[in-house]
Amino acid sequence: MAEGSWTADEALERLYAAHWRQLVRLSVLLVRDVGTAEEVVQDAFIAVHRRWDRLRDPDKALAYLRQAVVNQSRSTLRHRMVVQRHVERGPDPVGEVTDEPAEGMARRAAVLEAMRALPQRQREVLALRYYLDLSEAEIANTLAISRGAVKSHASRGAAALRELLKGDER
Amino acid sequence: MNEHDELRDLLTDAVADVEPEYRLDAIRARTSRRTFRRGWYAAGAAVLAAAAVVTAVNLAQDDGGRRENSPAANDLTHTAALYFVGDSPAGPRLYREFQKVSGGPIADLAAMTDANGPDDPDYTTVWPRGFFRNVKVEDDAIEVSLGTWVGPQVEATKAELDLYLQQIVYTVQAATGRDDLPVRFDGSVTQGFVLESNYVIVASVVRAPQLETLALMSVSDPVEGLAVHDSFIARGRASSFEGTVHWEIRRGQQVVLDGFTTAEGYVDHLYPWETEPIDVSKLNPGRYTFAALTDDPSGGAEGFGPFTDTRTIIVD
Repeated sequence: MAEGSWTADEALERLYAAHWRQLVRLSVLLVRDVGTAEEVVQDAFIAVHRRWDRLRDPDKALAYLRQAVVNQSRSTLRHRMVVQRHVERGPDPVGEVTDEPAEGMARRAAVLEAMRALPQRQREVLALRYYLDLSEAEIANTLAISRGAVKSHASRGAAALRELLKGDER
Repeated sequence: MNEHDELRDLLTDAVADVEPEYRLDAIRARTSRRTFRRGWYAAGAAVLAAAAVVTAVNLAQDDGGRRENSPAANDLTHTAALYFVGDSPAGPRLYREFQKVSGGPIADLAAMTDANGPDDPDYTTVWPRGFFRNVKVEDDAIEVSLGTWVGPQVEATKAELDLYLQQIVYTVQAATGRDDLPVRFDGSVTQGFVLESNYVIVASVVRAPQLETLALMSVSDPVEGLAVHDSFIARGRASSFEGTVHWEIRRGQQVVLDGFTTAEGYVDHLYPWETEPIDVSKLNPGRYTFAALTDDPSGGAEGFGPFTDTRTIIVD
C-alpha cells in the first residue's frame, strides 16, 4: 500500500508498531516514571491520529509525535509534584552490588536520576541527540530553538551529566 | 569510544529494560467512534477453514523506511499480556497478567500454558505445555498451529470452552497487536476436551466483547508478591459504574488502608485507571493484600456484586 493512502487508523497502527516502544523510552528519559511515559505517548498517538488529515506523511507524523512527546513530558513534569528525594541522595542502595543484574539496575537508575537533575532543555537535547540520534537541525525543529542553542545545551548537558555520574562512583 | 558513542550507549542502556504496556487497544478506543465489528462469532460453531491466499504482512517491520535507533529493538524479551481464567461474581472470566517473556508471539502462548502458568495463585489455565506450536499473522486471520494434547482430558461445557478459546484469542491478539483479526487453528483445538457434543469443531474464533469475557476489574501493578516500601502506585483496567475504582490494603481480613480512583471511562469496555501514590510507610512490615474493586451502587442488591482483583504485596 502506498504510504500516502493510509487512513488515520492505518497510520496509527503502523506508527504504533514501529515507534511505540522507542517513544515511551524517550519519555522515560524525560519523566523517569514508566506509567507516566506511557500516558504521555498514548496522548501523542491520539493527537497524531486526530491530525492525520493534515500530516498525511509518516515522516511528518513521526516528527510530530516526537514533538508531542517532548512537550507533553515537559508539561507533565511541571504539573506533577514528584518528590525527588532520590536526586539528593543518589540511587537507592541495592544491597551489595555484586551480581550483574543488580549492578545494571543501579547504573540505569543512576543515569535516569542524573537526567532528572539536569535543567529541562539540557535533558531534552541529550535525549534527542544521543537516544534518538537526531541531527542538530532536527532537534532545533523539535524544540523550536536555534541550532546554536542546541549546541550549547548539548555540550553543557553532557558535561553536567558526566559530573553527576562521577559523583555516583564513590 | 568517542564521547558521542559513550553517551548514546549510556542513555540507550538506561531505558533498555523499559518494556511499555500494550496500549494500542486503549489508543484505538479513544480515536474511534466505531460501530461494532463484523458481527460473526464462530466459537463453538462448525466453521471450515477456507484455503487462504497468504500474503506476507509484517506490520512490525514497516516503519516507513526509518531505522530503529535502539539496538534493543531486536531483543525479543518483552512484557507480555497473558490472559488466565479466574473466578468472578459473573462466573469464570479472563484476567490479564503481565509477565516477562522472551521470543515472538508463540512464546506468549507458550507462557500461557501450564508449562509456565500465572503468577497469581487465583488464576488458572487448562492449556497443556507444548500444545501451541506456531503463530502466523496472515491477511485474514492469525493462524495458530497446534500440537498434540498431552495430559488428562478436561471436561468442559460450551461456555467454558468458549472462555478457554477466548484466552487464546486475547493472548495471541495482544502478542501480535492485531485484535482485528480472528484466530484460525491449524489442528484440533478441542482434542483435549470432553464436551457435551462430539460435533463441536472449532476452526476459527473471533474476539468476544470485553464486557462478556474479561473480569471487569484487573490489576496490572503491583505484580504478585511485589516488595514495596514508602509508597507505590497501583494501575489496572476496569469497567465500573461511573468509572469508580475502590482499592483496599488488607492484612488478613482487616482493611488497614483504603481509597478510590477513577478510570477514564466504563461504558463499552475496560478503561485504564491509576491511583495516586499509596503511602504504606506507616504500616508494619509484612504481607498484605492489595485489592481493587468495581463500584456496586446497589450494595449487591442488583447485578453481580463487585468484581475484585487482588495482589499480595510485601511491605518492608
